[in-house]
Amino acid sequence: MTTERQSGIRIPVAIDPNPMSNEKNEKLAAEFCDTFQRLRTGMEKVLVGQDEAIRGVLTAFFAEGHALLEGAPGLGKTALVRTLADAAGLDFSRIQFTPDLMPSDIIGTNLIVENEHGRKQFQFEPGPIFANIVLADEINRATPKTQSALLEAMQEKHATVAGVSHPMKKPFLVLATQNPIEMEGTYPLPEAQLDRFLLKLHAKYPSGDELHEILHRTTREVAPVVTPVPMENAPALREFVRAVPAVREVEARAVQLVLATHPDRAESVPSAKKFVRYGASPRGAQALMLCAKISALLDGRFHVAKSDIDAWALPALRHRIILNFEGEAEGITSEAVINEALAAGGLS
Amino acid sequence: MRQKLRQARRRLTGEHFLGLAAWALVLGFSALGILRGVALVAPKSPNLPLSAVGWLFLLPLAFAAVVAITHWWSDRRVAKELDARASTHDRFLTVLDLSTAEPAGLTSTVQREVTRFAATFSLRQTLRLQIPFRRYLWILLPLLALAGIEGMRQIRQAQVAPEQIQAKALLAAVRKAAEKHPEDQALQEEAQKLEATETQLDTSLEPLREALRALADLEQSLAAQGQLTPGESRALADALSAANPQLASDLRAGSQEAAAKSLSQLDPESVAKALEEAARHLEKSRLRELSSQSPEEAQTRLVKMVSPSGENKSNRSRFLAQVQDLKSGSSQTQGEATSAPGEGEGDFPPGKKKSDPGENDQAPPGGSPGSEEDKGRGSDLAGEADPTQKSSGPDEFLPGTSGDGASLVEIFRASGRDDPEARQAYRSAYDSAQPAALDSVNREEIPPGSRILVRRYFEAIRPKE
Repeated sequence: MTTERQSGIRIPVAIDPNPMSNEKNEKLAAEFCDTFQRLRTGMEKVLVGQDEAIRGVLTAFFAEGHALLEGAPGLGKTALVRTLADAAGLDFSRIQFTPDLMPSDIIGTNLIVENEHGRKQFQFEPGPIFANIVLADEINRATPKTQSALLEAMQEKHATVAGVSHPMKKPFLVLATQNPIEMEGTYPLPEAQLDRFLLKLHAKYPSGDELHEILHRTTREVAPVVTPVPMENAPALREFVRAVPAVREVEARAVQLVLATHPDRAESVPSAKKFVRYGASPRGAQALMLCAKISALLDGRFHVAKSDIDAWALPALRHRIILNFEGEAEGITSEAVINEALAAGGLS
Repeated sequence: MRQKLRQARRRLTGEHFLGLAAWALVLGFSALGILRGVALVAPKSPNLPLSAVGWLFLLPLAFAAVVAITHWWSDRRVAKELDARASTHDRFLTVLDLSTAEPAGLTSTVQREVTRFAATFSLRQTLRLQIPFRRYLWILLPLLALAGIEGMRQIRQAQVAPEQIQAKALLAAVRKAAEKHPEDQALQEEAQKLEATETQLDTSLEPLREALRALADLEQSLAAQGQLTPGESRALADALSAANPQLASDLRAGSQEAAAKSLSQLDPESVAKALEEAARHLEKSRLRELSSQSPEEAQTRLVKMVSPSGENKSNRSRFLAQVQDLKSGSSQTQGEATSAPGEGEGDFPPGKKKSDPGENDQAPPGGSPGSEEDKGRGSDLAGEADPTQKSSGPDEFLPGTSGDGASLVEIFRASGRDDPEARQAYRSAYDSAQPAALDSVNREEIPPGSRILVRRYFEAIRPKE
């Protein structure tokens, strides 16, 4: 039985290295697939035409990462996050980011309260960030100071108020949305902060048939209700995901993809050399590997393949590549650089 | 899983060998073509023996086999290739790598899953043997066919070479005989036929057979016209040795006049008996034909055949003896046998070889005449690299302060969108200024939050198509 050291506590992990536990591992894998599929089905009852975004959000959920959703208004970004919370039966809070939003508005603050003895004392009043699933709506409308407060919580999984550290709930998932159209009065997330997001997902515009389906569901029928999926074993499932092995040759694929986006590396692709200012960070490789492990389990495998890594290259790396001005002036996108890196690796 | 890897190795090795073998064959045929070309241009160049031609193909094929086997020797390489080609999702490579590492986590479960996968995995669909150069088969197949035909021709030519030498010697003998005796119509006709066939002797056995057939016809016609052949004389002499030893010795010695005289004085019955006995030893001889006739008639004809009828007959008999000698043996006397009958030189008794076997063998060498002048390939058409095309190295930032250099000021008389000329002028100005602007922007440390504004500015001033 392996253990993991976290916050000084040894937590038993579900993975048993004993070869005799094959059945147990297979059962755990089946449970993971079942849970994932049930969550997905539940979300698809409400959301139409957002399959890729749903899969990405659920992957981020099991990988213990955060996701940034980008899309035009009205594409169901907020509904997607709320539906996930409903389907998983977890605490949900929504923060509407505005320019006058303060860090304390999201983290919480110390209030002076009277105790039963009539003495006044500080009591921490937690903000909306203390929930399992936090929707940071239009995150680019808040000032960098407020954004930083949220991002610290995302990375460190705790918030510090008046010198006291308050841990986040488990699981803790921030799903931020931003609108790419309205740029006036916004504070685009700095690249260093964007890097904290495991995935950047695009909410795509629905097709004609999907629009018909949306109309049918929202104007004729009663809004569908999502049945919560039992998530008691979710921590074990998350640990199980991390135990999925990847051999060095497969890991090399993730490494090669990340290095190919750097302009000054031998592995870089031509477009990266010309149009990229900074390439993807090591967090990009971590994100690739974690998402690939989930894909492998969903595919019925217990090991990561190169194709799993390639499948997540765009959502995991697109927000980690900073173009130079030449690239931006030429209208080059980070997706184009990633696609070139994928093609250069022989698999695309 | 290991079994699948072994099967995959066999298939990959076979496929690799086929590819390399195809290249080896192409190279072999090319080399053969080059050597053939060299032989045509320079006839004195040594002929490539047939065994060397074989090695020209066998060695590359053996090399291809060795390379293919050694290339796919490693299990890891086979697994990697298998994973790359089939939708195995790196299963084989993963299991191989995990099996060499310490067992941990899901290792055993991975192995179990891959074993199950391997049991249902069909290699036949994944690793189909690919025909090399399949796209170019429509060009290669006719070329290969031509090369094959040429190869077969070479082999046949090598096989018929000794017989060709013999046949040429025969033809030379016939030619000289015809030159010496222009009045002999039959000999002239046969010699013409042989001349016609000689030109084809280099390429196939068929003209040689025709030549030999023509020679046989010539021999038969010459023999039918007159005298006894040496064999017939010997057989007749043997048959008459008991009845008339003198006649027998005359026949053996070639004293035709005396023999004819003695024969005419003999009893027809005894001549008939002698003919019958001689015919028993010679199946296809005119003696048998004579023996079937009446004794008187047979004696009269035999006397005519034995009696001398001038130099022409003597030459014929000598020529026939020479042809028989050549046919039976033989290139051994070909050096001297080319001398014409009746010419004086090379005069020897019928049936006796002048020279020892193998001596003075003057057979013509192989090869064909051609120009020895080699004009070469001429100048190199590929040319040399143009040094002016080389990169001048990485871009450099020039020293100086921004704004100190020359400035670009242009006045447009109308908005770019309204006036095509102004639009063109604006595009020209934009193209001139863009590098300097990018240079300047790259130098500045712009806050990340403001970069979007700079980007929007540059997008806004970009000339519209």
